[in-house]
Amino acid sequence: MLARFLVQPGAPQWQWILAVLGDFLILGGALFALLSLVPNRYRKTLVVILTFLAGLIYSVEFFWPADPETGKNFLTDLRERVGEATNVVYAFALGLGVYSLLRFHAVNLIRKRPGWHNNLAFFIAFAVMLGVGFWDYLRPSQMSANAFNMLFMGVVAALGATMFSTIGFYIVSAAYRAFRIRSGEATLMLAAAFIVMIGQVPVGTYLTSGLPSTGLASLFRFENISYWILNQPNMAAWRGMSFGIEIGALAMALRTWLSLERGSFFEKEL
Amino acid sequence: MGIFEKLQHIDRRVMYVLLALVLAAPLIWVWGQPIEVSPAVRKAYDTIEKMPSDKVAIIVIYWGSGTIAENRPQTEAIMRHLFELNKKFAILAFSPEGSTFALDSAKTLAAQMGKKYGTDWVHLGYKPPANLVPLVQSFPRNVNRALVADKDGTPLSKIPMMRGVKDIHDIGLIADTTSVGELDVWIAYVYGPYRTPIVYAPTAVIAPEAFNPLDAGQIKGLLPGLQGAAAYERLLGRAGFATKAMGALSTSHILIILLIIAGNVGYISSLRRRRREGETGPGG
Amino acid sequence: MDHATVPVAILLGVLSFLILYKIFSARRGKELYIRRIAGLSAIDEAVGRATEMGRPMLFSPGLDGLGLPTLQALSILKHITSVAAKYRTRIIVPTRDSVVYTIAEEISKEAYSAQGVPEQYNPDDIRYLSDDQFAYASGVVGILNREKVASNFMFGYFYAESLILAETGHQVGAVQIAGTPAITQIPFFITAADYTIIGDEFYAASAYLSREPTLLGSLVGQDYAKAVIVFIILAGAAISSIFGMDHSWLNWFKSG
Repeated sequence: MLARFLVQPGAPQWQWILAVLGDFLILGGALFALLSLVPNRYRKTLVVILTFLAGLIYSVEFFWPADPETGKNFLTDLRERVGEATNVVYAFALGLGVYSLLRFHAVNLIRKRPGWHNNLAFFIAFAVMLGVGFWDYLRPSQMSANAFNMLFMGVVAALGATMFSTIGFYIVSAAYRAFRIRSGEATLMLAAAFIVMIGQVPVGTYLTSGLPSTGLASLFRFENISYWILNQPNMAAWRGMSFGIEIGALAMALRTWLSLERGSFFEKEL
Repeated sequence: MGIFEKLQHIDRRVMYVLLALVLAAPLIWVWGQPIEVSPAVRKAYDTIEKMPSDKVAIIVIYWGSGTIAENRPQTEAIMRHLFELNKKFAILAFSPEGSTFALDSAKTLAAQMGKKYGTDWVHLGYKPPANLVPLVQSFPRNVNRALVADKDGTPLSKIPMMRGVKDIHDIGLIADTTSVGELDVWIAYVYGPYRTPIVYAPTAVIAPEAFNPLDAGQIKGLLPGLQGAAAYERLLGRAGFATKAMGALSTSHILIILLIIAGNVGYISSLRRRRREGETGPGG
Repeated sequence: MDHATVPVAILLGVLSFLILYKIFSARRGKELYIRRIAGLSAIDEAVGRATEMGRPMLFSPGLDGLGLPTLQALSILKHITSVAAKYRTRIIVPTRDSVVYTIAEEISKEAYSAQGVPEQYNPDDIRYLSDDQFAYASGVVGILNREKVASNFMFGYFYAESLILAETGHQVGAVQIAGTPAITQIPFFITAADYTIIGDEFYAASAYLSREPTLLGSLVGQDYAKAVIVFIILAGAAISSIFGMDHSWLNWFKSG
């Protein structure tokens, strides 16, 4: 807000960054000062009011009819600004997360706790990635781009793919352990899993290739049964679960918005 | 414990080694098999065929290195189809890795098929996932203002194929290739108000959730995982990685089924033994 | 949709009214019944198991940011941490999101303070691991293996890494209770975890654990809302069967 008055249009990026940071410090400081003046017994009430107003923006913006041409109503722009402000708050929280990581690994490294070499590896990886990233950003060159690509695509992306591929192995051991004919429902689930698995691959098509591809008999081809299972019972179950989940989410959203939620954030109702 | 009972306690390391072998072997010695085209994939193909040539398709990239084996063949199949039909597309990436992979794929295909950047295809760059909903809400009304520039920072107004693209009515198709499953965002903010056709290409794990919108007509086609990509390649008449990898998928599914059967044989054997011991007492 | 259409506004209004009506009427003291949910009943047993074995527990609040599933997961974390504090059992909470990390820290501190053992709180047990999905997963896998976790709780929104976490928990011998509104991940939790909370049981967890009248009333309101949905489905099926798909009442429900 204040940055708009402090910085000239077209000014370098660093001036904007400093002005916005200053903005937050000044306005944030003012806000904290005001909050500290509020007596303790009214603080929760204040939080409740702010929560309600914040949610009210989104609710009213959603329900208020929009101009058919622009697709906006009088709150749409404000809602978009509030969304952007939320992203900024998240960015500050990222700094807290990084601080937590650094503190945790530093303490383990300094005290040489068991596995301290892993903590050292964290710092080395952190420093190298940070350094190369800033090198490529501030002084881009072919060498910096190659180094960044080697680290990002060659190490980070490859490690991510490796972790993901362990899922394939875990599915085998989990399915082997879990799919036992313990009851009628378990047997039904097993049969459905067999049919869907075999129907998804060419081997399944091959096994029932003797059946005609049209007519009543074609319904018994593995790929058709598999498609029917996914398209009918699966869809019905999905819809049922989705309705339940979304209504549960609606209820929780209402309770949180109206500060009726119990548990983490309020011990007593207001 | 009898030999059959031991089948329910197979060491998981043995299973992992077997899986590695049955996956690797068909990739090395390619096992060609007929690929079946499901109605969902056929619908996706027909939707892209019918897309008006004067509009631009948007290929959404929301996958990374973890799901590259499934999503990259899907992406390449869709790109190839659009190139063959001389239809233009713009890549919109919400994953930094996927952005790079999609760029490489598009460049390779463009070189093979004689297509030019800026005229036949464009890469709109990487957008942070936190911006997905605001972006999808805003770009239908004003594409230039929402998407601004391509991956190199060139304003859209200076890119030949994007000059005529003002709003959602100039977009002929959204092809969403994803491992995350943000389909409800596209349906809510693009299909719902504007009825822009959406073709969905998710990984196989999240594909079952797409049958509801497919049945409701909210998406116009579905490419489920590697199998969907292979079926699409068959429709294009060009065997790519997906077609070759279907052999590996087949053998791995067969292995899982055999192991489950073995486990159940062991389970039933142990149940029978316990029943016999219950009747006669342990030790006969 | 960007803005509500008339049918959406009416439906949301009706569902919200039902939920709020039951919340406020439940506060008048009427005893409400909630059926047993095995996974949630097993939480105390899982904490007890970890206490007896002298091994820590792990709670993963999912991979999403501060949304509804994570808020619910944090409610469950508060309950579990309170029980853990009572039994002096260690609970490790790795997070993927830095905002969730700060809130999990506060929740843990408060839970230990409420039990009169603030000195038991160890800030190193609440960790922000990484924003990257699989970096987070590999971090949790490492913790599960190194700490030999006895009980593994996974509540929140999960993606593909759910099976990695659950299968590793099984391999280290932990008892596992999982709950997620992510329908695609439920099959993985069912195969690998000991107890799975499915669908809207996840959102019922806070009511189940706390037995607060407000939350129980909300659950009943949700059931009424589901009844309204069922009625609309049946009415729509009947109308479309009798009058065809192009009836004006059906067209009215379509958005846009």
